[in-house]
Amino acid sequence: MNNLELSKPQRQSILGVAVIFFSNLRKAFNFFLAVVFVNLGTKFRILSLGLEEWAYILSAVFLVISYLQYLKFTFYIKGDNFVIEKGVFSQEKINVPFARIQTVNTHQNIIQRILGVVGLKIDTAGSIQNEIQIPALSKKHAQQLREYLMERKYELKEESQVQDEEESSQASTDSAIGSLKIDAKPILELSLKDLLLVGLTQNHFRSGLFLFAIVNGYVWQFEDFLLKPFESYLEETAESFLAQWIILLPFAVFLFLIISVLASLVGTALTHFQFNFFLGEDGMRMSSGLISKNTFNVPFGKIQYFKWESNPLRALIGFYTLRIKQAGTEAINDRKLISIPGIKARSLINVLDRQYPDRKKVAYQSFQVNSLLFIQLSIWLGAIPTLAALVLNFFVAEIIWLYPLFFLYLALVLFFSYRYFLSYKVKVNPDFILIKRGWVFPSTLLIPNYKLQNISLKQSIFQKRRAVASLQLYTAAGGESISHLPYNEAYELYNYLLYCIESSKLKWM
Amino acid sequence: MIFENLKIDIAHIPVLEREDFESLREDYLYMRISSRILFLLFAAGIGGLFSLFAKLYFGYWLFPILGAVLIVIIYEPLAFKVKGYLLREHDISYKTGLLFFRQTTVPFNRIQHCEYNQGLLGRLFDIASVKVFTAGGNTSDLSVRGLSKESAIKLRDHITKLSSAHE
Repeated sequence: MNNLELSKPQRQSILGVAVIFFSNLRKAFNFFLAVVFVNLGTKFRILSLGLEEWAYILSAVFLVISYLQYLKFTFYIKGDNFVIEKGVFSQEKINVPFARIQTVNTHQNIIQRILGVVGLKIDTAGSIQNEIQIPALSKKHAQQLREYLMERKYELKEESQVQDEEESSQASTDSAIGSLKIDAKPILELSLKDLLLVGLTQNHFRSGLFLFAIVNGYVWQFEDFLLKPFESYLEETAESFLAQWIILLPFAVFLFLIISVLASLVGTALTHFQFNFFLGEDGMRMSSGLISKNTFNVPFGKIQYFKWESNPLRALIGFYTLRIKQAGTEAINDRKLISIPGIKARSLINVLDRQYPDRKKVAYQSFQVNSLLFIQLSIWLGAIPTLAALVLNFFVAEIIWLYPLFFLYLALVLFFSYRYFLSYKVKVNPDFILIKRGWVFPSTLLIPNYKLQNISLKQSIFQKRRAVASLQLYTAAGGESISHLPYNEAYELYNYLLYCIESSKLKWM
Repeated sequence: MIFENLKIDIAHIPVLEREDFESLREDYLYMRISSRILFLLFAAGIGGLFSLFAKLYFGYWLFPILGAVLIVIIYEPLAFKVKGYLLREHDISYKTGLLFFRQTTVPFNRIQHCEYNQGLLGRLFDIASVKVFTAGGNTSDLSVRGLSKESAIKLRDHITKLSSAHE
């Protein structure tokens, strides 16, 4: 055991003042950005003080507040709980029972990096108190605290399991997780070249749209100042623009593409810089990040299921993205959902073999989805939009050369829906569900049956006519669906999976 | 047989029969109809005010609302027949939905906690519901509606007892 004095309330490292100060400052900056922007260039005076003076005053106020926040932030251990007390104006006390702790992770943003401190985040499965973190601890202290918390957590579990003789073998494997034995050599390191490849093969369309959404939000927020000065100019040129839009369109598309690719590259560099992925006997660890560095520790027991996906560009260079789904609500799942970009098939199989060595011991039973999937996709994505566009064009726009485009779109949707339908494969064996789907963006899910929490069977009136039903599978890390199985097969699968859950004695979370 | 090459014989797997489901208390149907009619009455009141003071043609609100009342009176009894719950040794199930049928089962060994609820109208009709929560997110919850207060409390205590036996 390490020399941690945790029975009395403790403060974090004094550098925490700086960390809290900068995080407050950033929040304030976002808030005051609009005020600053409006008054840029004009003479800004409130109470006969200028912008600069106000900045100094507010900074001083924030410094005082940050110091108070630092003073009021204490953590200690009481019984079987880790307790955090904080809050200047309203006191807040967070109780974390050791048994509720899922994992403890460290992270470093740029300020924390400069100051040489780390933030400690405690993950609980609950959805409410999910943001439990200590902003600044010295590296050594954080490491000790992390180990201590994990040790206590597993001690507790062992005690309860010793009484339960059935699970004694389980207890011994569990206690090993406490120290999380992990290989010293990473199984996967992303070199700069890999990073570039991962960045280039992102889903650019998505990163472009994402960037567009952000920029758009900012533009409208400051619409008056950004667009007003050019309004008269815009109005004049609007008409000529309209005439030239056919020439401008390819140019705009090209520009969007370039910006999207750049956005992907920057995004990748920020999140996956120096990506290291370690695999051990009982868990995995990954660390990465350019500006803020994050380390995630994932004990195998906490993994709910795996999902790996690819896209046409990635498939060319043989890269997959492996997503590791842990317990958490959908809303915060992005953070919980830890992903490994640029993993090759060989390493992927390596990871799966470590985690699920027996996954191919028993043969899988295949299920074929009903062609209603293809029909519904074609109708909702193809026929209805096309029909709407046809009607609109016929009555309103009357552009004749658009008609062939509509039918081209319909043909494409039909084609892709059919490929998607063909690619949809569901396989089940006594221990696992394997779902493969997607033709352009293929993804595969591997869910151990006992990790399921509940199951729904859904049937719309359209499905009822064709004796088809969908299954919705819920795990602690979110839901996945299986669409349009023949009704009796779906029902049998429903009963079978329930049986798997109810007869399993394994700890699922 | 679908699972012929799996470890367990499919014949030994307990089957959840739709016929086994318990139907809900009939008062629940009346409560649902009244709550919808109350809402429509409220809407009619607002429409009436517009007709009185803003000279809105009364047919604009009266006929849609009458149509809605008709739909409620036809739809609700049909939908009520579909609803039901089933308590088994190891799990609890609930089914609902006339147009979009949905049947959910939560095994007791995956339940985190369990809640008992009774609304304002529920007190009038002696109707309560039991909500079952699982880990990680609220999308996966199950609520059993249309029970009497007494049986809802009993059900909650039963589920709580069984689910805590698994921890």
